[in-house]
This record gives sequence, structure tokens and C-alpha cells, in this order.
Amino acid sequence: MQRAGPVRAALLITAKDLRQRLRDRSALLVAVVAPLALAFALGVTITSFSAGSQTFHLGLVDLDHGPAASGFSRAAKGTPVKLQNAGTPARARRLVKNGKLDAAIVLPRGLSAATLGGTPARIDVIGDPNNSIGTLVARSFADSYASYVRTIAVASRALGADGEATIEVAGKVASAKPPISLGDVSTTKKNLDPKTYYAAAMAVFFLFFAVQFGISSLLNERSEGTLSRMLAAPIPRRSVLGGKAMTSLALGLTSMIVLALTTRYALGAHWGNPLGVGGLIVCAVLAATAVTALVTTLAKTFEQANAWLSIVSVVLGMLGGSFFPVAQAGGVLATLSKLTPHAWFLSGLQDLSSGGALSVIVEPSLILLAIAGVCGALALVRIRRLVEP
Amino acid sequence: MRVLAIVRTELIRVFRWRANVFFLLIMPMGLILLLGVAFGNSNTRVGIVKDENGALARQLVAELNSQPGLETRGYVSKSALEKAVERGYVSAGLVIPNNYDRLLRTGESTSIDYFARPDSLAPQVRIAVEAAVSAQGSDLTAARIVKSTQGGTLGSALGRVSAVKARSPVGVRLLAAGGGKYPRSQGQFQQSASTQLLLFTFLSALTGAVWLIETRRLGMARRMLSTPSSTREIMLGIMLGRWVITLMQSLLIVVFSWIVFSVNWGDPLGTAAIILAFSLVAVGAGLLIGTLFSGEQQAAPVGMIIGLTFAAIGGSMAPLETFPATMRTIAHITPHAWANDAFNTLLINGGGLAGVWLDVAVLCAYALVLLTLATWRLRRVLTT
Repeated sequence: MQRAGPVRAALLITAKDLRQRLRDRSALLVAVVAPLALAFALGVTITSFSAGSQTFHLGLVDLDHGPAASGFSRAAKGTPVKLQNAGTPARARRLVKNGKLDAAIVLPRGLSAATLGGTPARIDVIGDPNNSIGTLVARSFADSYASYVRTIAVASRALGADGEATIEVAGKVASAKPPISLGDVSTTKKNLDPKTYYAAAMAVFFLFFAVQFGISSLLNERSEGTLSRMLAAPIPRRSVLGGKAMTSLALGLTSMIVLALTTRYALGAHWGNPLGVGGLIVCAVLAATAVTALVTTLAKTFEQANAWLSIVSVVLGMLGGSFFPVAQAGGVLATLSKLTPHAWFLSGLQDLSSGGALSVIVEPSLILLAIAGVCGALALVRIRRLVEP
Repeated sequence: MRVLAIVRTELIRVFRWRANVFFLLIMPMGLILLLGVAFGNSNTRVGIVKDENGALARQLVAELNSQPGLETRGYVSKSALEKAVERGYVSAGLVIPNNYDRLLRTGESTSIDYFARPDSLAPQVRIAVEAAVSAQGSDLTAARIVKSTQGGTLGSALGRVSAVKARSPVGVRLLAAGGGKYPRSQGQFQQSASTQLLLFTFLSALTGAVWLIETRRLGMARRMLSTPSSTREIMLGIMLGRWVITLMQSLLIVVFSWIVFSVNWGDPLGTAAIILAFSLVAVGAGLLIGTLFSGEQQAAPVGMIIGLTFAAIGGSMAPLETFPATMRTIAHITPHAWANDAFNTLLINGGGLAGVWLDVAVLCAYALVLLTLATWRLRRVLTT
């Protein structure tokens, strides 16, 4: 019988592992189904950092029946606020509670008189605590009106005006050019849309689980006795290690490529320049495999390795922004986030998808390779222990 | 008694495995901490580049910070601010020009560069920033009118205006649509505590399916059947064991988050009802998965997929209120959405058991269906 060369032996081991994992469908579930299901679920529900303008429907209850209401309507022009008559306060409450209105503003009786120096009045903003954004918009809107009334009151008092004179002052305030204006500078968004973000985030999150099927199965083979049998065969140890590492790399690469293509064509994710994406994927797979190998060499049994690997993968994923864009939080968390391969992979994609040149992936790729290098070297030092007969 | 012995065995098996302590308790607490620190403060961040430090510029920043729901973060340069806006680290940015005070004090108008992100928070931020700007503009406009009416310099008019120190004769009060005062803003960890409780108890119960499969693979089920225990007792023991574990996990999360993060869990009866019903749903789902698969390699990932996907759709990863309307309806396929609604009623609106009975009833219906199916499957897999 012809003796298998070391490379061929390694390939045989890889092929056997891949067949096993495909047969029990675990690889398919972890590397493809899980990330796809989650990318889809998160992509359709999380829109809070997505594009698209929003209109706020605010109800107006006019108990004042004076000119104040038209002041509100004027102020709403050109803003994303749409005012509609809500009738009575009770009806407004009901509409807000049912979610038909984002919030409501009640203009009290005597508001116009208060504006012109009469007895003070109070505007009620009716909001739903479950729709805090709508409530804040209505409140800011009412606050702006209160500032306007304050201007009239202050100017009138400084001038010692009352009665007719106040009306004149009010007219001047209404027609005054605001001293401070906001000059809009448009910006482009340089972060991924939720669909793409979660497609990539889930892909890299589950990558850390997918690569476990390779390296860490060494411990399983050892406890089940198949490792001793492999070592008894005329196969160099490096072939066994190489075969296992190749299983990890093959599963990781396949998973990432399948996910990138599926989410690109089925979910409409925008991954960016394929060459750059490919480069980042290769670096991320290497980093994930090295981290997994290192954790595996620290464990004593297969069960322990599995538990530790799950913990490491989940913690790195959470910190790295796989579920929540942690980098946006700033502070210590954003710094911690930068220690994870996940964060670098995602930020590389972010720069790439916003139309950056290929050079934008150099920094994240080098850092991913550095993580792979350091963890891989440490793992290599320790891993021989695993294949002692 | 025999039932209790089985329950005890289940508990010992779960807690002997140290990693379980991590997943059952440390992980949820870690996430409550992470989410609380990162996003618990629901203020929208506005980046500011202050090219000068005049009184009016400082007043504008103070005015922005006093807007409800806004907070500012300083940046050193326009380009740093622009990058932060583009990356989404802040929702908008303002550049206060270096001649801001001088222009305003000499009666000129000034323009503040406003960097907005084209996203759904943009309109809210813009309106709040405008409110702050108009509050600052109030004195200036008044002074200009004083000057144009009485003559003199703008400086003296400003002096007279600021001497008035009037508050607006029009106040603004917030009311809750459900009646009563609008609740004050929630604690930093409030929102994440209840959502993560649901996410993790459900996820742990589902991945716990692996234990049921191990019970069969190791032959424990056969050995239990060979004792004088009836199948019913064994099934009851297994189910109770899983329920006790889920309840212990819930209780620990409630107690720890209450002590460590001062999370307010609202009406105790209401919270207890939600947790009891939801944990039954979780146990039913976990047992069903444990009986539908014969290998741990399949049950574990399937449990994780369903556990995380349901949490995402059901509002345990992003609040339901931020979902598009259709998705909010679809979300109610999951038990999470009903439980999250119920927690919102208790924790945000300060409701009691009476306010959540419908949600709890729906959860009980889920539990009934899942437990019935699980019992039927469990009897089959244990006895054949």
C-alpha cells in the first residue's frame, strides 16, 4: 500500500471532518442557517439607525380660539411635524394612547391673552411614555413657542409697554429675523445600513462557532480514542494538526462566502468591493481560527473547550458589536470593542461600503492578521501537547 | 417524593457544570450592564465644536444640554465632528463659529453649521436643537426690538433685556396619555433588565434541550423507567426540574439587577405573573425541541437560533416601539413581544396585575399548547 504524504494525510483528515459535520447537519445549522435567520430577524426589526425621514403626527387641541393656534401651524411648516386638529383633550389622549398620534399639544383657554401680557397660561403636552421620541418632539415644539412668548414679554417689559403696545411688540417679534440660524451641512452616512450591518455582524459572530468544528474536535478525537489511532498510523503529527486547522479554515471561509453571497442577493445587503470584502474575510477567518486554537489548547477536555469557546465567542461578539453597535456608545466600551476581531472586521466593511478605496482595509486587515499571528503562535507552542500519544 | 428526586438530579446536573453559571447568570447580568452603559441613557448625543468660549457660546451649550433628551459631546475640530456624525457616534453636530459672540453682540445674524445624519432620529434632534437656539435667541430678539424702538446701542438694550430676567408667561407641562403625570425618565438599566431577562431565560431553556437529549443518550431515562416510578412521575420530574431552573434564573436576575443596578421591577404581583407564565412557555419550547431532535449537535444550534431570533423579533434586542408598524404586529407571534408589552405596562406606565392580565393570559395559552405538545412527544421518546 502506498504511504500517504503529509499533505495528503492532512487533506484526508480535513475531508473526513467535513463529511462528518455535513452529515450531522450541525455545520450547516451553525455556519449558515443561524446567521441567516438572525441577520434577517435583526435586519427587519432594527431600524433605529437606518435611513429614512420620519413624520411626527401631533394633535392640536385649541381651547384658546385665538391667534396662537395659527402660530403653531406656521411653526410646523418646513419641519417633519404634521399638526392635525384633535378636538378635545379627552379625544387627544385617546388618539395618543392608541398610537394614532405621536403626541398632542393642548393650547389652553387664554393662551393668546397670555402671549400679549395677560395672566400666565400653561400648554399641556400629552405623550405616551412608550413613544418617547414623539413626546420629546411635541415638547420641543411647545418649548419653542414658550420662548417666542417669552421674547414678547421680555421686550414689552424692557420697553415698559402694555396693552396696544404689547400687540405691536408681538408683531415685531413675529416678523423678526431670528438672530441665529442653522446652516445645514449634509453629511454622508459612513456606517452600514442595518441589513448589511447585521448580515456582516452575524456572519462574523457565527464564524467563531463554525471554526470550532475543526481545531477543538482534536480533544473529542482524543477522548474517543480516534486520535491515538491516527497517531499510530504513519502520519506525522503536523498533518493531524494541519488537517484540523484546514477544517476550521474551510468551514469558516465557506460560511462567510455563502453568507456574503446569500445576504447580498436575497436580503439586498451591500457588502462593498468584492476584492476588499474577500481580503477582510480571509483575515477574519484566520483570526477566528487562531483565537479558537488558543482557547482549545488551554482546555483539558472537549466539554471544557466547548464551554470556554462559547463564552469567548459570545463575549467577543457582544463587545465587538455583533448585536449592538457598541462603538457608537463611546467611552471605555468603544475602547474595549477595539480589542475584538469582530469590531475590526465590521469597521473595515463600513469604510469599504461607503465607497472607500481598497486601501481602507489595510489597517483592519493588518490588525486581524496580528491577532491571528499572536494567538496562532501561542497556540502552536501549546498545541503539541494535544497530540502527544 | 420520586418527582422531587428527579427534580433534584436535574438541578445537580445543571449546576455541576460551571459554564452554566456563566450562561445562566453572569452573561445576562453582563449584558444588562453593557446595554445600560452603552444605550441606557436614552439621550441623543449632539457633537459640538466650540471655536470660541464667549458667554453666548457657553450659554448655547448649556441650553442644548437642558433640552430633554439631548446631551452634548465636545469635539476639537470640524473634521473630527464630521467623522463622528458619519460614523453615528453622535446623531448631529453643531459648529459654533469663532465670531459667534461678537456677531450677535453687534446685532449681526450668525449661522451655525449643522451636521445631520440622514436617519430616523434626525428630525427629533433638529427640532430639539431649534428649541435650544430659539431659547437663546429670545433675549437677542427682544434686545433688537428694544433698540429699534428706543434707539441706543444693542449693548445697552441687551443690558436692559437681561435685567428683566422674566420667565415665559407660558409654561409647558407633560402629561401621560394614560392619565396622570408623565413618568420621569427611566433608570439607566431599567429597559435592558426586563428585555434581557426574557432573552436569557428563553434562550437557556431552549439550549437546555441538550440536557434532555443527554438524559436519553446516557440511558438515564431508561434507568428511571426501570424503577417503580410511573412515566407520568418521570415526565413531571423532568418538567418541574426545567421549570425550577428557569425560575431560579429569573429570580436571580431580578434580585441581582435590583440590588446591583437598582432596577425597579414594579408591581410584584404583576412581575411574578409575567415571569411564571413566560418561564412555562420557555420550558415548553425547550422540552419540545429536546424531544424533536435526537442529537445534541442539532438541538443546541436549533435552540440558539430560535432563542435569539425570537428575542430579536419580540423586542428583546431593540425596543418594540422602534419597530416599523407591520413588524410590531408580526412581533406578537413571539411570546417575547407579549411579555415585553406586559413589562412596559408595569415598569414604564406603572400599571399593576390588572393591566397585564391579557398579556399573561396569552402567555399561558402559549404555555398550554407547548407543554401539551411537549408532553405528548416526551411520552413517546421516553417509552419507545
